[in-house]
Amino acid sequence: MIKFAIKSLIFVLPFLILITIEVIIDPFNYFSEEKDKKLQEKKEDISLKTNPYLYKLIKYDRDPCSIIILGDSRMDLLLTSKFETYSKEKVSNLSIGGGTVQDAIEIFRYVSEKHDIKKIYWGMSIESYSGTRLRNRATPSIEIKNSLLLYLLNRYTFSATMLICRTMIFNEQIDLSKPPVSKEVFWQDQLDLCSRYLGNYSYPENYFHDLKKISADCLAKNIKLVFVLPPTQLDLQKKIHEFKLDEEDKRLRVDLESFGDVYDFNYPNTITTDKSNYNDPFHFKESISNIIIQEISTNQIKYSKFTSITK
Amino acid sequence: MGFNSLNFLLFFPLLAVVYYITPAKFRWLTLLVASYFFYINIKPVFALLVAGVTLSTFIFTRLIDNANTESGKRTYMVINILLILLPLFFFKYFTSINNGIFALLESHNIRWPLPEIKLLLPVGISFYTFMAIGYTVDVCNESIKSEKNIGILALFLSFFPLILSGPIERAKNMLPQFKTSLKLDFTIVKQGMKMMLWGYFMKLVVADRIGIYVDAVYGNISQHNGTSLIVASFLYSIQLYADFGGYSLIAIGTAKILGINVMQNFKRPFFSISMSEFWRRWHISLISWLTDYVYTPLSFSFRRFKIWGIVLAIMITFFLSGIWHGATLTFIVWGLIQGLFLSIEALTNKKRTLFESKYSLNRRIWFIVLSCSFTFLLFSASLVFSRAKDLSDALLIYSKIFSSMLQMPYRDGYTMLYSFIGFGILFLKEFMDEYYPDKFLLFENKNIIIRWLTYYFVIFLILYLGVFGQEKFIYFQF
Repeated sequence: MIKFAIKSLIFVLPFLILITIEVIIDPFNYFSEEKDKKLQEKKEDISLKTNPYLYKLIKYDRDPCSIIILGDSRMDLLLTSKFETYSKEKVSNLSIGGGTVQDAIEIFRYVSEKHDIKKIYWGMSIESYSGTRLRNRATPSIEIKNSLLLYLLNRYTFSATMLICRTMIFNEQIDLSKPPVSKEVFWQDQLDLCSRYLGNYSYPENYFHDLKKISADCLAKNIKLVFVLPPTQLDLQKKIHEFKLDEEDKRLRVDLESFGDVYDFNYPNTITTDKSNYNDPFHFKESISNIIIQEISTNQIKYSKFTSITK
Repeated sequence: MGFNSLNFLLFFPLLAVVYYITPAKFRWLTLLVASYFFYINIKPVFALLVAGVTLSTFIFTRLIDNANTESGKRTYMVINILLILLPLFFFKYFTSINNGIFALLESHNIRWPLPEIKLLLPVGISFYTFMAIGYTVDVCNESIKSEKNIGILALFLSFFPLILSGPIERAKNMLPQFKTSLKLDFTIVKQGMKMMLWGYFMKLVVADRIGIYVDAVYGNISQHNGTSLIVASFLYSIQLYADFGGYSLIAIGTAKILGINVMQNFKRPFFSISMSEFWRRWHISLISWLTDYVYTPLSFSFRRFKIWGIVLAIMITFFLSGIWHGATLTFIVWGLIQGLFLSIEALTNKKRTLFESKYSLNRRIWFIVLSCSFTFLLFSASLVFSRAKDLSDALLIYSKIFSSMLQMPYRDGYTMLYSFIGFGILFLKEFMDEYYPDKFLLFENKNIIIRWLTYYFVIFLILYLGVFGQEKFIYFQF
């Protein structure tokens, strides 16, 4: 009996050590807000990129606000501080790189159940509004957020803790997001990525029904649902035609217009034709991000095609 | 509270401690209370059904034991079987029958007067009902004495590791174990823990990861091409095995830690070289139950038809197996397909055996590989019926498979990569266990470093590659 107990204790010792380190580092600020500025910077560098939903949801629950942004990396480029500048709106950005519609739906459900929401800026595109883009990173993150045991025993907390420890011990910088290739190569990579998404495209009956329900829910709860079609560079827009998805692209707009207000920046215009506005065909520069924020938060239309659900 | 819920991970160690500190003669009582607590946690009202089935089985098996005539015994047996089948039929089949009749009458412009009743299927009802029937028949056949302690019988039918999805155990194996005073044996406890660990690996790393791909394709059949459907159908077979096999291992391991030995439910089915061998390795507890209580009596009654009697018995047995899985046409078709495969094997058995032994095929690697692959193919193809929503969906899948086969399949990079890693490890372990059972031992290695490194590695894989948050096992629906 004693031998078994001792062996068991030795066996679980590495886990106990690991959990202790995780509790001390607390890479996602699960237990409390980080007061050490340097460590907080490391967490933003590492944890935010290791599991952005987990990081953002924990932060959001601690400091919720009534306007949220959902979507992928393009929406993630919209700086919340600029919303305050242009329209005094206090906004929380819950979008992440590679975020799918499924993710956004799950985040919406979680957030709207727990907090009082007034407005949602929801980034949408034909690449994400597809029946085959089903990756769901939001649900596991919500599960982890809701359970202490899962928080301490999951790969994200483990990886982030180890990386933060590494930066602390060896005093090195870790950049998890920098693409290790030239802009031209990365540009082409992103076009290829888009081709993969469009090549796999199917009309998302599932998303249509989910969004229809969400739209009705928003109407009942007096939540303003605003869809944004972020501007992608013309090279990328041409891919839609190349894959013969023009009709589906139109259908996306028709669907969205039936769910809420729509700001459509994604058509050939002065923003999208100029390559210098972009870091890669998906991602625009900060100047464009500011234009988008200004238009959608103040409704002063200059570049987008706007359709209101109440028209 | 499923096996992969955090509640269970807190409940079980606590129970194990309470169980072993309880005096040996009252341990069955601890298990009974824990089992009902476990089941009530799912939905309290369902516990009443188990209690009802237990009470009926107890009364009638006692009457069977005390009956003086053979016909009296048979009458009590039939009454009890009918009584305990009632809830199963009501909850599992009523809605389907009602819907079927409703649709049929409506097609003839006749309105069905009864409103639609949507019933939630009590988890595990098919499993404990079969256990109760098996026990009743055994008592009637005098292969076991009826249990005098209703508490022990109640524990047999509600034993928490088995109640949700089996294995469908026999009273002959379980009742004596509940009554013996067991000593705490750490070797057995460790064995149970290893089984549970591997079961969790199968469920969380392999089944639930593959499930993401399968759900994506099967959830949107009309939008996917034939290649995606083929890939998803093959993957579904693996998912089902990892899910149910993993569940069974956790169940058996849980029971083992409590000192109770439960029968094996899977024995590396994908290394079978024929469908009949496959069914000796897949869901062993159900198949042996069906063999003992359905197939054997039927083939005995049909013996005058010789080989065709066997075929008839096989077809009826697998027809019942299909119905047991679900009251839809898809499951019936699935069951009949299995029956057909086995019937063909039974009819060609002599010639095949002669041919195989003439050329020593069973010793040739290429023949074994081909046979295993063919068996896997047959099983995966038949599973389309059990996975599809309805018969028209299943037929749509087949038509798409044959019309748009050579296209790029749907790709989901990370899911496929992680699935491949998980399945690769599972396959490797099963391969070693099948062909080199005493070589390259990892869990059972005598060297503690290798053993512990293996445990850590599996735990690491579960934490790192596991899919959390899906508490359901596929077989809960049956």
